[in-house]
Amino acid sequence: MKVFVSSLYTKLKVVVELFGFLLRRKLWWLVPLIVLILIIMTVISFGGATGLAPFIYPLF
Amino acid sequence: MGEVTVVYILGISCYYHDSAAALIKDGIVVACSDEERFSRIKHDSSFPKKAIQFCLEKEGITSKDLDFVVFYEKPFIKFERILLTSLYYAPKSLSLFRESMKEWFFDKLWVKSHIISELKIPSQKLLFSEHHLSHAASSFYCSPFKESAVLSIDAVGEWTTTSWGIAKGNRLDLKEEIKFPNSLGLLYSAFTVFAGYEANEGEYKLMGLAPYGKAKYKKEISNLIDVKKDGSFSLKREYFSYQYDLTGVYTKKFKEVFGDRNVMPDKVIEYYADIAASIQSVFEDMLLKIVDYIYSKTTTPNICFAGGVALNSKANWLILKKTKFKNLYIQPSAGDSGGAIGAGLYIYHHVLGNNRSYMMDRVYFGTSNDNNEIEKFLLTKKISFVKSKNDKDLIDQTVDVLSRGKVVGWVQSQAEWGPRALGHRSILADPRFSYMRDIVNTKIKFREAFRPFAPSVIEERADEFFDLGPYKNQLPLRFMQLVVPVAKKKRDKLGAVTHVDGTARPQLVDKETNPLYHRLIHEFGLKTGVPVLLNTSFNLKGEPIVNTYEDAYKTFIKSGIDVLVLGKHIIKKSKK
Amino acid sequence: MKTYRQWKKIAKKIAGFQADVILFLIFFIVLCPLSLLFRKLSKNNSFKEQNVRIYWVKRKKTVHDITWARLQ
Repeated sequence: MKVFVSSLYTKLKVVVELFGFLLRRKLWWLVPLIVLILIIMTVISFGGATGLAPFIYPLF
Repeated sequence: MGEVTVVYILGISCYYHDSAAALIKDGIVVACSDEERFSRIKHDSSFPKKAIQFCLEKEGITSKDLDFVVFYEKPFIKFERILLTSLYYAPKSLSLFRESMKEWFFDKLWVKSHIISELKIPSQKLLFSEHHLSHAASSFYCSPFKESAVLSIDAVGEWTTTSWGIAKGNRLDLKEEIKFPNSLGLLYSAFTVFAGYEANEGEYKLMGLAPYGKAKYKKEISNLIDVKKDGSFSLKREYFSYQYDLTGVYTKKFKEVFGDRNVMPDKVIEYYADIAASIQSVFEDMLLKIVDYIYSKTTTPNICFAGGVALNSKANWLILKKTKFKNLYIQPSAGDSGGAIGAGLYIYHHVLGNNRSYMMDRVYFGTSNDNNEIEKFLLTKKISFVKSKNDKDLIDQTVDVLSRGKVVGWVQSQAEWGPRALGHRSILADPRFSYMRDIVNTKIKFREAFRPFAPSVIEERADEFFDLGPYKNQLPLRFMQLVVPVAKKKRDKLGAVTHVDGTARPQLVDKETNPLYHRLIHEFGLKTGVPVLLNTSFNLKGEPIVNTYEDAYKTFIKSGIDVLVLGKHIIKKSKK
Repeated sequence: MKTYRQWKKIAKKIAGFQADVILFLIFFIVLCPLSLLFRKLSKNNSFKEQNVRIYWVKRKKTVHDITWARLQ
């Protein structure tokens, strides 16, 4: 559990860094697209990792 | 008494091809290895867990002792390039977008968290170099030069495909660059794929095929590129699709000019040989223009070269022969794995401001094999062997079998760093007779018949057998990085290692860095009059170079190698 | 446990398929229209073939210190 939380925290920091990078490079207009892909890929990744993937269909 | 603190930096490269790890201690490379040597997956691109473990264990430290860990490129900038490329070329870029977004969102974007969780280091210790800076640094900081021009060329890093700069003391600054999709590396790869080989794998096959053809299509190839007088260039977009299409590298328009490839050239086919000769010639012209331009902008006689394109040893020789640079150094592992070393050294010298004291004049950093362990292994497996009494006995026995036309697998000491086998993980044979080349090619390596083999020669007699001119002391000759002419009078004595155009890619073996191998070749020379051996890497087609004695034995029994030398132990194939 | 592992293998394959479908939809619904704007308005000259005297681009002079090195 501790490893999972620590990994999640590091990944969240990476996401924050990514947004900071996009702002620095004047690519703020890509933020919505990246947020969209991030959310979807997280859900899919969670489904794949836990075995819940087949049940994600009803969400869409 | 004041405590002397040691600075440990671990460099990592991965996720594109050829993952590697390199441990640097006070600016000196103490351990490095490609991940493929451990995982046994050729060009392994995954996170180099085993290579990292090897580096730390070799030095007897843990990740807690590391001052910094440096990744060899800026992943966000690379991600930016891929996303913007997909955006610009939509809807043609569907395959690129789909595959790269999966790769990046599931894996590559999280390299920081991977490294932190694998090594259990605080995030402040993790640093990121730039791709071409890592290449340039891997060459300059390992070179003997106090001051040098630096050149880095590959397929693409973040955005840059070609860059040059000036390095002095501990500072390295890149001045100008050429950006994606204008790429000399990808141009060469496009023709590699056209000739039927795999990109990032088959480029040296195209280079080996070139001498069989004539450069008849130089004009057609030149029409695909706009090359300026200063060597800078732009590829004409209508001929190439590598920038947006993962399923192909060239377009219909390219095929209209060069035809539609539909055969795999296992044997030499005149047309593909002519194509290979043409692209090699165009590539050399472009490279020399770039190097001439760099010379005009710098005041130094030295140049350091790195990046995947620096593996083109034919072109490398021309840098010395045809430009005004007098001295050349090329990182022995010039591709992405060398970036692991460069990333670490760049941080140590340029960012942290430390002075230099290191030069890479030898490449034996990898796994070593203990003779007692080898013996235990052989006894446990009930493998019959002969243990040599001493070095002289070992060499006498090996020279005897080599001079009788047998092929020997030779495993000694620490494994080499980089793509070349340099006498520690080698397959050796008599270089005098051209039929030896056919034997090694067809019975052992299972390679295309046109591919040449390289020789190892003792340094003090190298210019007897090869036309080296004033360049005999150039370090790239120690690492098989230059294709040079074989002396005309000696070509009949080196039938197995002289290519069809009278050239070879020799390794000059010196007594100090490789005493046992040097002695072996010297003794072979005393017996046969030719102090040269055919030296090819100890691996079969599709597998990485062997690492441990177990790998070597497994490869030995699968192949047509006659005798295996593991340290002091000699194993002969049974007549069964 | 064995059944769960096998189920996870299937789930992973389904997840891969789902990713393909979603990315396909995002590509055509979001990216393609955005692409038209990007090609028109972007100042990024790397993709367009240009008629210039030289193709060398001067690198921006930035200080490469630890702060620079920490950035991805």
